[in-house]
Amino acid sequence: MRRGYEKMERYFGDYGGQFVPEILMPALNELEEAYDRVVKDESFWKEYRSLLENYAGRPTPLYLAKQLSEKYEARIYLKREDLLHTGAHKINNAIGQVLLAKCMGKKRVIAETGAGQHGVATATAAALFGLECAIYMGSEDMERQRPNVERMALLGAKVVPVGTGSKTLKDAINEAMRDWITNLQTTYYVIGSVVGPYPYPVIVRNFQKVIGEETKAQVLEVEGNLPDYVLACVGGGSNAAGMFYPFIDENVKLIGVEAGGKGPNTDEHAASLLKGKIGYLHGSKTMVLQDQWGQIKVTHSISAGLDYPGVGPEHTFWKETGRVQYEAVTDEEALEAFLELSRLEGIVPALESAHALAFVKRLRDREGKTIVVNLSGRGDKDLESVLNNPYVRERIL
Amino acid sequence: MKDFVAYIPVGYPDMEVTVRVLKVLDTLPVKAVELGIPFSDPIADGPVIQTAHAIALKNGVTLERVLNMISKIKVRYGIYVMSYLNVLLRFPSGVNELVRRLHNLGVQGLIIPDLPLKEMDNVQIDFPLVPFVAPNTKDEEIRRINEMEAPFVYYISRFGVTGTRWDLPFLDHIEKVKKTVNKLLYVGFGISRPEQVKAVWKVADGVIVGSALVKIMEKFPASEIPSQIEKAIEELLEV
Ligand SMILES: Cc1ncc(COP(=O)(O)O)c(C=O)c1O
Repeated sequence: MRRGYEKMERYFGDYGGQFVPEILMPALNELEEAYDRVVKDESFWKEYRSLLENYAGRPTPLYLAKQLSEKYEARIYLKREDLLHTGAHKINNAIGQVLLAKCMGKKRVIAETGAGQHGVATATAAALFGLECAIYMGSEDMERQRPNVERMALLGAKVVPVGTGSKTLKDAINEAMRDWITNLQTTYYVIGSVVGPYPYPVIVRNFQKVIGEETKAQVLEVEGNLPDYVLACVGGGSNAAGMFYPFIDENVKLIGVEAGGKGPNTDEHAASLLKGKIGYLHGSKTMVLQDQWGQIKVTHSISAGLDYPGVGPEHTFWKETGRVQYEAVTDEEALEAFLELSRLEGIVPALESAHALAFVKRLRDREGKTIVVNLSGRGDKDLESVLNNPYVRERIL
Repeated sequence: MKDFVAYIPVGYPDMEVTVRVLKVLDTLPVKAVELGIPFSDPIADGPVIQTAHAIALKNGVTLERVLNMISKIKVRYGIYVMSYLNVLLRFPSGVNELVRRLHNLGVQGLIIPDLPLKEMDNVQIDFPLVPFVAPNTKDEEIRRINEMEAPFVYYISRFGVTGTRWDLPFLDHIEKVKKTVNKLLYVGFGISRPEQVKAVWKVADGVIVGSALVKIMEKFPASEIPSQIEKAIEELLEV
């Protein structure tokens, strides 16, 4: 498998690019130059690694889930990103980018957030480095992820509700981009996934690839060889890209799991790679859920972090080349996996991560195989909405 | 007097008002009209035009309907179509068919707010495109425009999305760009008062006014919109 884009390039195959207003181009160039500079600067990485280790809690464990393994007759390992400070993989990227913002002399950072995990991670890093911080969040997401809204406020960030469009992640990104266009000189935009115009998809993936690098070393140590399968959920695609990237040239099956909502054949889901068409959204040429007139669709997922009509362009490239297999699981399958992991292993996963877990059940040839599932985050933020869900109430209350 | 260009979001508050406004504009010294095609996610637009896009979409406005409307109106001013990239490239019968129809309708160019100079060669749209220049655009990028075929150059006169705030008049830079480019230079984003029109006309070839007109459409009942637009433009032109 040729990687072909180890060096910074604006496209992954035919996907990616910089489809943004002209006024953003100098800012993207400035970002590219700054990133190119820090990539070569050992002291930047030293500080970044030290923060990941001593502040965020890396490396995260790779845990052999015994009960789950028994039930599914496979060796199932969980990469425990849920144990990180702030509760999800998002902190890997937030610390990296806020550190980069600091190096660029920016005084203010902004971010969008869906589940609130990236917002909390950015607010945390901003507090740590003493930067002003504003987080854009769809008003529907503020409702369903309330604990994270309160955490962001506590950390000193201004949470800006976004009530336009579908009132979710897509609209939060629109609003963050408008803020950035207006405040370019002082402000750094911390994008939370491998989406957006180049160089963001590359920067975010590179700050997240620590997940896959650690996993590779850990699994080799306990198993003596690489796993058969690696699974991760895909919203924008950052935890999946970070997990998959170090395995891309290896003989390992990679599966990205999207949000199937009420079913990928209904109109209510967020399975962009499965059901989308090539389009242009948030600065990138990639797979997009859209109608016949090129209008972006309103998506649905029980998980706010996966409720997005686009996806990182590198995933579109991996799908097109066949390197990664993409699937979708429904809200109900994810809820079932959420409950199952809680009961069997005493781990409450994020609803996003529950999508990756849910697919284990559907893996036909899993028997005797080694399977790694990226547990991208923990489920504290989801308790309220899960416990109020009729499907769940029926089962456990 | 120099050029005056009006931005009209098609289908806001409804298609009928749009047609009446377009007729009124034909009685005024308007050089060209930019017809805004609605998009679900207009990232370069502020709240005023965002709302117009959302309502136009609710009214069922599609690119197809806009093309039909253009084919029916008879006006003297030049017509430009402004649309975000995805709507153009996803045109159901293909972008080449779209280009053919735009050409037959006499449309003078496409204005695509999410297509920067650097990506223009990476999309296959065989039609005159209007390049944007911002206050922070590098000189070498601006010089590249001279090798392009373009009906005019669109200067974005402030840092920000569309709206009626005009806090940063980059007049010196506009003047410099005017000396660099060998094309008409029109200035837009945030122009809403006669003094601004006057100031821009001193250094560039024309102004583009959008949000200030859309605000009028927001404020007045449908029956009064055409006459209020006429009044507003006459005031802006009184310089
Ligand atoms: C725990 C968790 N996992 C996954 C995601 C989805 O994002 P991505 O696909 O970029 O990893 C989110 C986003 O909010 C999240 O909070």
